[in-house]
Amino acid sequence: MKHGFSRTRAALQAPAPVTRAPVAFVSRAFAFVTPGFVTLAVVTLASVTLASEAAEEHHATGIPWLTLLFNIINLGGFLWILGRFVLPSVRSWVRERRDQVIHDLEAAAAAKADAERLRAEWQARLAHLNETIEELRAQARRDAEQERERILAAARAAAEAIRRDAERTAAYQVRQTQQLLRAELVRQALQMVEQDVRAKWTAADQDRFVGDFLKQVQR
Amino acid sequence: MSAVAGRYAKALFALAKEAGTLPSTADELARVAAQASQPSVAAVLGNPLLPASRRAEIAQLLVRELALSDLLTRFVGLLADHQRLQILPAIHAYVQRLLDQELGRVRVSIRSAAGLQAQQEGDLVAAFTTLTGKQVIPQVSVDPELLGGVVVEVEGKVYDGSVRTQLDRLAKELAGTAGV
Repeated sequence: MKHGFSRTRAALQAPAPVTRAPVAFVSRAFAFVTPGFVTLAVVTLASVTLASEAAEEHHATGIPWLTLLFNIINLGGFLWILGRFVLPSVRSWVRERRDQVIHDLEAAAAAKADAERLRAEWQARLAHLNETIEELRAQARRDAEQERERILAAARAAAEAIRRDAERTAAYQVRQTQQLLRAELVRQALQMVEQDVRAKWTAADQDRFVGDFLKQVQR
Repeated sequence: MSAVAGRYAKALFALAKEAGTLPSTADELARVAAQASQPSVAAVLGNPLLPASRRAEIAQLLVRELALSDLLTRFVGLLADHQRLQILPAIHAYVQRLLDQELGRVRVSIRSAAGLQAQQEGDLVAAFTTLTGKQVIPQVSVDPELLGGVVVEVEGKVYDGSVRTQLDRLAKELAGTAGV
């Protein structure tokens, strides 16, 4: 029994749990009810004893000292039990309840302050809504202008690159054509020379060529 | 000229030199190579599906028809055994070169646009005899494509005095100028 009281007292003296789950609530209720049952049992036992003695001495006369003594003892025990077991629990419950109320009040005040702050903030925003919209429009115009400039610059660069490529290609094709023309001219010229040589080549020319060749070999 | 032909040629040349029959062996080899160079014979000798027995028969036929010496008979038989009869022309060319080296002479190919006079040929032979320091054996041919002049080839070097080459050089120069 004493162990049960100690546990109950320790439970009562422990900091109040933040949660308000049903299990915690039931546990706390038992903590209050247990000392009450003890007190009720003691009072009931004393009442039964007094009742039996009073029945035996029902016919006595004068001040019932013994009855008075038992009543005093009974009251003292009752008061002692109340002070020992019930009052600490009630005091703890009241303190806890007070702390909870204070805490709730503080939370409510904080929530109210937050709400006020949000309200003020949104009021400020609403007040500057037109300015914000105008700023957004201006920013959008600036972004669009920059994008347009960027696209134009890229297009100019691409056009310039295409123009340079076209110039290079044209120059290359001109050179190619010139080379082809020159080669064709050379080929036709050589063909004409060859025909001329075949037609006009004489034994004297051959002798002269062989003679020149010999001179070169002998050199 | 393949390395295989070179090995056979050196072996035959060494044996003929030992026997002191270099000129006659070279002549016989020239006749065998001429037969083997004929298109119909070359096609048969170059056929890888030809059986070894058939190759041996062809070799024996060549030996009999050309009345070859003992050395050439054995040489042709060896080539038939090794399935190398088709390289006879290459062996002949290699042996000819070895023989020229042995005898201190060089073959000179002279191509001329027109027939050379005897005096011109003699002058060319004399000039290349002086140039090479060896006895020159001229192999003269006429090539109208040269248009004019002569082209002489000796020991892998070409001495070009033809009109054709000068025209080609001129064409290249003109084409090169066109590219500038």
